[in-house]
Amino acid sequence: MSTLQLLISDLAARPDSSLLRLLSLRPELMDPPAADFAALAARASSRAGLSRALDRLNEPQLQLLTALAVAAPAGSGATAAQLAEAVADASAAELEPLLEQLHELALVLHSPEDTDDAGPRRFLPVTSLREVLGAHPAGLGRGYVELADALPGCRDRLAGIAGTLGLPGGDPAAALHAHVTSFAGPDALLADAPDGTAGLLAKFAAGPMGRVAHALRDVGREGRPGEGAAPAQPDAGGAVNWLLRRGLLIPLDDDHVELPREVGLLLRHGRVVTHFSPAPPVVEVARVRTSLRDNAATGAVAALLRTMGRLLDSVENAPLATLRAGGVGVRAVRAVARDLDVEMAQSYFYLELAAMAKLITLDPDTSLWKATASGWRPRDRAEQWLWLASAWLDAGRLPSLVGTGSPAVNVLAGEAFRPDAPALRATSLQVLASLHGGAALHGDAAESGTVPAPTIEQVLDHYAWHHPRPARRIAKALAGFLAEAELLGLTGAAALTDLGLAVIGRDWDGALALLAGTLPEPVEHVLLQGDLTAVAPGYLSPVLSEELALLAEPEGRGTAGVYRFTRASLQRALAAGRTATGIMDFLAAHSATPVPQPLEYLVADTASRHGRFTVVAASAVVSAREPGLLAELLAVGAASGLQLTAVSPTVAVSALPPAELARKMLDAGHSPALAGGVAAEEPGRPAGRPRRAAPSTTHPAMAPWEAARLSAAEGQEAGDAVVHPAGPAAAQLAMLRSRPAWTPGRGEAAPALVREQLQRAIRTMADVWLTTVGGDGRPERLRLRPVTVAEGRVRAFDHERDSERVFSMHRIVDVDLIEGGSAGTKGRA
Amino acid sequence: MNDGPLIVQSDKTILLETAHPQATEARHAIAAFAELERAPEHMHSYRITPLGLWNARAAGLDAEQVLDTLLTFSRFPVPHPLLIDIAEVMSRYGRLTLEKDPVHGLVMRTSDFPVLEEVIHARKIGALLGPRIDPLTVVVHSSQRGALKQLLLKAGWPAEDRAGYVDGTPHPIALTAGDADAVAPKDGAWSLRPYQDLAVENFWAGGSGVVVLPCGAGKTIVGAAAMAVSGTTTLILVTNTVSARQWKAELLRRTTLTEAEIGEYSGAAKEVRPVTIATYQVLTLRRGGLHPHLELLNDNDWGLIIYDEVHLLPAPIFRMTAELQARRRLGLTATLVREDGREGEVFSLIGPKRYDAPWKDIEAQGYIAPADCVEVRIDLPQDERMAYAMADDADKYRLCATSESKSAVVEKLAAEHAGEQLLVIGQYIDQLDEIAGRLGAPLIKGETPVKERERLFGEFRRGAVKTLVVSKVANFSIDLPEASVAIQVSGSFGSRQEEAQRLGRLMRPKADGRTARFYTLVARDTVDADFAAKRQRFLAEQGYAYRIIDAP
Repeated sequence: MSTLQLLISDLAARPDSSLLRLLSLRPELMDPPAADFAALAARASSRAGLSRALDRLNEPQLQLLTALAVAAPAGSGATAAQLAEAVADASAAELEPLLEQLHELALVLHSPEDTDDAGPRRFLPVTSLREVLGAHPAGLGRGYVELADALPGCRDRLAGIAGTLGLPGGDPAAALHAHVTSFAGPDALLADAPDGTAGLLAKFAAGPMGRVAHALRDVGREGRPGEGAAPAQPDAGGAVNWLLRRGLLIPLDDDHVELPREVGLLLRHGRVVTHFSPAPPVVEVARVRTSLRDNAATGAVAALLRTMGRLLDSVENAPLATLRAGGVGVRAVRAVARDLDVEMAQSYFYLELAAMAKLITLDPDTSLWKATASGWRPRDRAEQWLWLASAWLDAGRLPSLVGTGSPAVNVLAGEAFRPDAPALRATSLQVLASLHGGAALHGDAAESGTVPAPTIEQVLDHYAWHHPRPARRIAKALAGFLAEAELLGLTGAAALTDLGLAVIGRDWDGALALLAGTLPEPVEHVLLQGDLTAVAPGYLSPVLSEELALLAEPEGRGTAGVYRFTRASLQRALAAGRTATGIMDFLAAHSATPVPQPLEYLVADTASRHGRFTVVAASAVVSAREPGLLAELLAVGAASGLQLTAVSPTVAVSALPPAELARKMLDAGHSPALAGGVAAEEPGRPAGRPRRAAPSTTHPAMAPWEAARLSAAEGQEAGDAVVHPAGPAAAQLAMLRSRPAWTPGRGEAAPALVREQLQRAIRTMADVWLTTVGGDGRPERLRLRPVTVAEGRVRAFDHERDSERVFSMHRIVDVDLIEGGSAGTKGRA
Repeated sequence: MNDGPLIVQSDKTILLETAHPQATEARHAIAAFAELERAPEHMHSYRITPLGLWNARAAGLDAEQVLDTLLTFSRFPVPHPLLIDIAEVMSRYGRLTLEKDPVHGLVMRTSDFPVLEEVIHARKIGALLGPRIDPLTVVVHSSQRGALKQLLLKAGWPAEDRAGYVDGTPHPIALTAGDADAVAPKDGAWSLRPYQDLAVENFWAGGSGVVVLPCGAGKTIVGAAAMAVSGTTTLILVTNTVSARQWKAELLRRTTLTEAEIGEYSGAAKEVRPVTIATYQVLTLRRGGLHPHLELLNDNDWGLIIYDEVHLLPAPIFRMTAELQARRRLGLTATLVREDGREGEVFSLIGPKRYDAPWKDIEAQGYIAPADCVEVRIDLPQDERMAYAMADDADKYRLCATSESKSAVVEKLAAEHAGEQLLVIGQYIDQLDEIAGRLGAPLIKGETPVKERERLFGEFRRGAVKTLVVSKVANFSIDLPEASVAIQVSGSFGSRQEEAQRLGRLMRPKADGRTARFYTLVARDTVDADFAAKRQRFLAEQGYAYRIIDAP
C-alpha cells in the first residue's frame, strides 16, 4: 500500500475528536472544504501543505521528524527505539509522545506492519516529506546513491574509487555505501588519515558543502601518490587529497565538495540530531513593574488614537499622491510626520496602519490616498482602538519594511505586501504570550507586582525553538512586530499587557472591557486662562475639541489639549459662520472657570472688525466711457437679467461669465466690446471643502473584528438545521463523514497517487502499466519503466520502442505497479 | 488611574492644575528638575529639559526619583518614551568629573572610557585639555574650567564639577536682621523672609547659581545674606551707577558693613574695597582694543561674585566669567528671559537656577504688591492712520507708538489718579518731553546727570514729586517703593523682560496695601499692538492677566 493510501485509511479511521484537532491545527486543509478523505490526505501530504505544517512545528518535533526522514528505511519505517538511537540524549519514552503529536498532525504514519506483529509500533514519514525538508536534512549531505544519480560523471568517479579500494563489483555507489557503513566509528574510518583530517571534517558539522580549490584534480591512487601530472597541493592538501581519494568527499564541481550522508552520519556516531532540545531555552528575562507596564501601555493606547485622529485630519486636508513607482513620496510623508509631530519612521507605521484599517484608501481615479468616511471617528475610543488593533492583526503587510532596502520601500507601496504577514505576526505574538505565561509560572522566585519584559533577542531565541523553520526569515519582521505592538499598547515597556493577551486570543469583548477600565471618560469642560489659552484637563470629547480647534490654535502634544486663541483663529471661526455671542455662549457653557476679560475683549474686538470688507463673486466687469451710459445699462439691466452691481460711476460687475454677459447686452441692444477675447468657461464648482468621496462598498463602516464576528454569525444562519458549534471544522468533518473515504482515479488525490506510484516505481526500478490519454482523447495503455518525475512531466523508458518517452502528468489517468520487475530489461549502466 | 494634579504631555511639558489639593506638593517635587515655563491662573506649565535634568542630578536626584515623582502625581499615563528619554539623559551626567588632583592640579576623570575618547576627539574640546595621565584621566588647564564645562554641556556629556571653590580673602560680614515684622520691614527691625532664606540656602548648598525672584521681592537682601554666609570679600556687578548707590545704601542698612568697607567702581569712582560694587558698563569699557577694567574680576581674591540683573550680563563679562569657575557666583534676576536666547549660557556659566518662585506665589504671601495690568487701546486719528499706512516698515513702530492721542490719554489717566505716586515710562525722548510738558512733571532721561537723577528719585520717594516721567534708564534696579501707578507709552519693541521690569517698579508692597496699577497704551491695529502682545507674554505667563479697555 502506498503512503498516501495509508494516510487516507489512517484519516478515515480516526475518531471525530482527533480529526477536529487536526483541522484546528492545520486549518488550511479545509480551505476550500475537502471533498473526501482522499482529497484531505492529498492536501496534507502535498508539498505546500507539508511546508505550512512544518513551519508550525517546534524544535524537538522538527528534529524528530528530520531524524525519521533520514534514519527510517523507505517503506518500513522506524520504531521509537530506533529513532532514539538517531537522536542524541533522547530516550524512546521521551520520543513516543512527540511521535504521537506528529501523527496527530498527519505528518507521521503508523507503519502497516503494526497490524501483523505485536512488536513495537513503527513510524513512517508521509510522502514528499524528504523533498520538503530539502536535500540536506539536519545538515547531512546526500547519500552515495543519490549523488551518483544526480551528478554527471560521478558514477564513473565512484567506480574508480571502488576499484582502488578493492571493493566488490556491481553498483559502485552501493559498494561505497556498504564500505563506509561497515566502519565502527569515526576513529576506525580515520585510522590512517594524515594529520588535520579530523579538523577538516569538523568544519562539515554545520553543513555538508565545502569549498575546495581544484576539487576535480587528479588525486592519484591509493599507494601511488603524485603519479602523473598532478602536482602536490601545498596546503592541507594531504588531508583533502586523502579524503577525495577514498571518496569521503565528493567533488560537485571544480570548487565545491559534498560530504556524503554515510560519512556525515558516521562522524556523528550515527546520530542524525546531535543537540536534541526537548524544552525551550531557559532565559533570564528582565522584569518590569506592572504599574510601569500599564502606564506605558495605556499611554500608548491614548497616544495612538490621538495620532490617528490627527493623521486623518492631515490626510483630509491634503490627500497623499502616489508615485509612479508605487507608494507615497517622501515629501508627502514628511508633511504628515510634521502634522503628527512624530519621527518620520513612526509616521510610516501610522500611515500603514490607517491603510490597514481602511481609514485611508487609494482613490483609483485620482491616485490619491484619501481619508474615507469609514465610520471610525464617531466610535467611542475603546472601539476605535480595537478597530485598529484587529486590522493590524490580520493585515498582509509589513510596515517595518518601509524605508528599508535599496531603493527604499515607499510608504503604502506594494513591496511591503507579504501574504504570510498575518501568520508570522500571529506566531510572534503567540511566542510572546508563551514567554509571558512561562515566566508567570516560574514567577514565584521573582518579586510580585512585576511582569517579564523580554528583549527582541530573547523573543527571537524562543521563536527559534517554537518555530525553527520560519525563524530564519522572521528576525527583521519580529523587531517590527514588537515595536508596533508597543505603539499599539499591546505591550508596555516591552511586557505583554492583559489587553495584549486578550487581543492575541481574539477575545474582542474582553479587550473592550479592559479598555473601558483604562481609558478615562472624556472631559466636557476646559479651563480658560488670561493668557488667552484654553486647557482641557484630559481627553476632550470630540464635539468640543472640533469646535475648539476651529476657535483656537491647538498647541503642544499630549493627553491634555492646549488651545491658544488668536485674532486669526477667531477670524477663521467668524468666517465659518460663528458669531461673537455664539462663541461667548459656547465658551461660557464649557468653561469650568469664568471667561477672562482679555478673551472676552478679543472675541468682541475681532467680531466687530469682521465683515468690514465684503467680497462678492464677479466674473465679468463692465466699464463705460461715461457715467450716463452705465446708469442707462443699470436701469435696463435688472429687466434683462444682467445681474449688474455698480462699483463706481463708470464700472459695474456681473456674476455672469463675460461671454454670456456680452451676448445678453447685445440682445438688449448694446454693442459691447469683449476685452481680452473670450474668458475660459469656469466650472461652476462652489468654493469650499472638496467633495467627499462617495461611500462605496469597499469602505467598511464596520470594524474588522466586527466583520469577522458577523460573517461567523451569517455562516451559522446559512448552515441549515445542523449548527456546528465549532464552526467550519465541524462542517468539514460532517462532509468527510458523509462520503466514501476514497473513489479511486478521481478527485484531488488522484494526481498525488499517480505521482507516488511513479516515484515508487523509480525507486524500486519496477515497470508500470501506465494509462495515458493521447492528443486525440483516446486512452492508451503502455508498459513502461519510469525514470524521473519532475516539473509535471514523466520520463519513462519504453521497452518496445527501445527509447525514452515523455508524458505530461495531467494526461496520465492511472498507474499500476508491476511488482517483481520484469526480465529482459536493461538495468542502468 | 490616580487623580494627581499633573498632566505629563508627550511634548515634554508638564501641566500642573493649581486648584488641585496636591498642587503645592507636586510643584515642589517637580521644581527640582523641570523649568517653570508659564504660570497663568489655572494651569501652570513646566518643561523638562536636559539642562533641568542635569541640574537635578547635580542636586543629588536620580532618574528613579524623577520617574517616581511623575508617575505618582500624574493623572494620566506618562508617555513611556518620555520616561526612557529622562533616564537616558540623566545617565549622561557625571560620566565625566572634574576633580582636583594633588599632583596634576585640575583633572577630568571618567568612569566610561569611550565617553572620554569621544570628548577628547571633539575638535573644540580637545584644545582645552592637557596631557593624558592614564586611560581614564586627562589634565585640564585650570583657566579653561568654565569653557570646558560649557562645551561638554553642549556635547551632551555634562561634567560633574567636584573641584570645589577657592575660599577667597576672609572678611566677616553679618546681617543686622532682627526678628520683628517681616512683611513690612522698618528701619532697624527686619528679618529674612522664608523664601529669601531658602534661596540663600539652596544657593550655598549648590555652590553657584542663579536666584530668580520677582521685582521688589528683595533680591538685594538675598545678595547680602549670601555675603554674610560667605564671609569673604565680595564683588557685586550691577547695571548702572544709581543701582550701585542703591546697593551700597541697602548693604549699609542690612549688614554690619561700614561706609569704608564698600567701594564703588564706576565711571565716577574707582575704589577697590573688601566689598566692591562695579557697573557692567565700566567693566566692558573698551580702550585701544583692551578692556582695562576687566582685570578687576580676576586680580583680587574675591570669595563671592554677585551678578545683579544677570539677564543683562554683557558678552565680555560672559567670556570673563568662563574663566572664573573657581569662585562662587550668584546671579540675581527677576526675568530670566533674554531676547537673544542666551538663557542657557547664563546657566552654564553662572550656574543652574537655584531658586525660582512664581510671581503670584510671592504676591499671595504678601511680599509684593498685587498689580492690576490694564491695556488701553487707542484708535489712531485718521491723519495718523494714513501716515502710518504710508510709512516705511522701519518707522512704523515709532509712528504708532508715539501717537499724539497717547499723550491725551496719559493726561486723562494722570488726572484720574491724582494724588498717587505716578510714573510715566516710555522709549522715545520726544514723546516723553511732550508728555512731561503736558503734565508739568520732571523728566529723567539718559542725559540727566546721576546727581540730578538721585535727587529726583529721592524727592519722588519722599512724595515731594508726585509724577515722574522716565525713559528706559529707569527700567531696572531703581527702587521706588511708593510708586503705585505706571503708564507705559512705548517700549523697545517686543521686549518681554522690559515689560516685566517696568511692572516691577510698582511691586514694592505699599504701606496701605494698595493694588498697583500698570497701564500700557497701545495703538489699535498697528505693530504696536503686535509688540504689546509679545511684551505681555512673560507677565501673562506669570499669571498677570491684562484687562483691555478702550481709551477713555
